[in-house]
Amino acid sequence: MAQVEATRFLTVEARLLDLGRYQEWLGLLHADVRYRMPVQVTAARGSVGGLLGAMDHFDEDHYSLAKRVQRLVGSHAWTEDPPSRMRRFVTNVWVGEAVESGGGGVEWPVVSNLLLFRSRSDVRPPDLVSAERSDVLAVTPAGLRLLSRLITVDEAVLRTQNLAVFL
Amino acid sequence: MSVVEIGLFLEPKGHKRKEGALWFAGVGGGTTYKLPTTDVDENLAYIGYPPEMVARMKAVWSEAQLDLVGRKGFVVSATTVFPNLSLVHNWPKVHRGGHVVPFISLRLWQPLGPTSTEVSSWFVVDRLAPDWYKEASYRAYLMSFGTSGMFEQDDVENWTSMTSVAKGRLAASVELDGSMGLAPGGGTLRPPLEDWPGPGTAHVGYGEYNQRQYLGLWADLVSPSRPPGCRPRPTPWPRSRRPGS
Repeated sequence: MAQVEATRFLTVEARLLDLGRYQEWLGLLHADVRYRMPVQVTAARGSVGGLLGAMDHFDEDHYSLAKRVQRLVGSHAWTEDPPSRMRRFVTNVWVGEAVESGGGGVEWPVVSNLLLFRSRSDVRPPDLVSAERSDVLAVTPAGLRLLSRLITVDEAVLRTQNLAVFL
Repeated sequence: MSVVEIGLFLEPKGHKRKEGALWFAGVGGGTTYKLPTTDVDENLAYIGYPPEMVARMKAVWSEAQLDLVGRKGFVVSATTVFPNLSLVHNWPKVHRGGHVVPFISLRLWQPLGPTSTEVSSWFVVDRLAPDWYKEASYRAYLMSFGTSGMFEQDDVENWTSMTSVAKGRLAASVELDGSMGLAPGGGTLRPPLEDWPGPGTAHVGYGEYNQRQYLGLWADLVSPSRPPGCRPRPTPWPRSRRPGS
């Protein structure tokens, strides 16, 4: 059941983002959401590398995500005007054991793979962004809400034009 | 909406930028914002510096620096050192209903070819700053000028568009007009600030004073016929040569 509900949540979320319905996407976020995407670095096996602990592409709370949305839905966000054509592919959804949160609620750890296809303007080659997302979904009376997301992107140097997208 | 319209900054209309001074000294220069008072403590508090950081700044700043931020009310914003190092200093709101928090970013512009530039962006913070400040300042940087920063996104979009448009035939046949701030009969529309406590010369109001200075430095280096330091005003933009000409 949790597997079905979590998968449905991620599918609906991806569709809202693909369609640019960002205000509705905000509605799926918990008020205490933490949204992080650390910088990935390339390093030899065994040396210090992988995720750069102290540097992020995103380290957001509800306020800053809402500000980003407010800008994207307005008329002067040149980065997304004309908007990208986007398609998110969410796969390999794994739902862990439910855990009780401090306030008596229930949270589900959910891990998924994401592939974003993004095409902008007419002739620019499209971008792909591949990532793993490690989420915590909070079970609330209103339904599932995204409480935290850690995005582990698979490129050290992102080849997408900018990060005016949510992953 | 633009980053200004969503209320990320204290100065939604941009007039504090217009009232700021544009300055250039030797091989570098930049922009300043105009602050609301003539008191250094109040001005630094206005842009979000906590008292303990202000106390440390005042302990090490020169009289001219104190005068610049205090009595004259100018604070450094964007600055570039020739040829390719810049800094950004700004103060967005990082929490709902909260006050602004400043951040500083160092930026290195590394050319990868005629139409491609790699930008390295660092977040810089006072090592002695309180932990809450370091955290909030980092978030301020990420929101506006980090890799996902809202300013960064729009700036990069403009720069890449300008680069592709400049490749065209028409663009190659016209000269860049860099005359903003110059008077039709010669000289500048406004005289330089007389009691500017900062280095070099400064002008208030919008103008391309800094761009002319910067491109003049560049022109000196790439034009063997022009003696160093001898720069015409305004600096003409070198006409692109058509293939075969």
